[in-house]
Amino acid sequence: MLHRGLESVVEIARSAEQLLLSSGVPGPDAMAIRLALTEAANNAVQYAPPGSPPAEVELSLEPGRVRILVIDHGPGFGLPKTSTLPEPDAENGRGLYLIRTIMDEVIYEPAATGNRLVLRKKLPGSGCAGV
Amino acid sequence: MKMLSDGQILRVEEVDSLGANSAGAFRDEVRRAFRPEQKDIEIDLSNTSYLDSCGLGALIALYKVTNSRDGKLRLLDPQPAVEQMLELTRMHRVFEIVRT
Repeated sequence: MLHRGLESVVEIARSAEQLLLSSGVPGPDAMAIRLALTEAANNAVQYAPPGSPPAEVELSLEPGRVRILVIDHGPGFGLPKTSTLPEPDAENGRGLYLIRTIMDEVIYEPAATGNRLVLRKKLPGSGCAGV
Repeated sequence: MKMLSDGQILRVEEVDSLGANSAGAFRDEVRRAFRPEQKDIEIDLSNTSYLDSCGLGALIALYKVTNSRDGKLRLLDPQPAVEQMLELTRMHRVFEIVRT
């Protein structure tokens, strides 16, 4: 659960990275997943309307992959089909690009009960068996 | 965070992390400390445990300030997480990165 505070994003992201490392996820992948989680959670916190329920963040390990779920109660947005980097002198606008670059799957489901952003990333060493 | 003036250079040290919760204050504090006669900013990132896109935005804002004075923004000894962020966003080609 996220309180409406960016400080809690830092703590949650740090805990997530530690969990991934202790589960055997290689360092660079754990760092990258932490960054994707941070970007997604920052957005959920920053765009939450006053008085709305706090956003929620969940990290889970599925067979061969990591899943991040962020539920926010903001107005929702239309997820663009692709994301590009802004010009180098732009001071914002890189969050979605980072999420898309790091994660293998990005699904956004707006809903009145809470918008769901689901991110998945395959872990190294997980491939197709018997092919 | 510590800031030291060294002639034309403003040195920033002991930056713990650069994320959404601290980036704005960091950017404003460094801008305030950057004297009119100074041209360059050096930021020691050896203790900076992570950088998110808000933190990157703060660095870009400072880069633009030094640029406007024909100066340089140098990032010293970035940690792996910070390096990863700079490479993912291709900003490692824009910033001057120094390993001491």
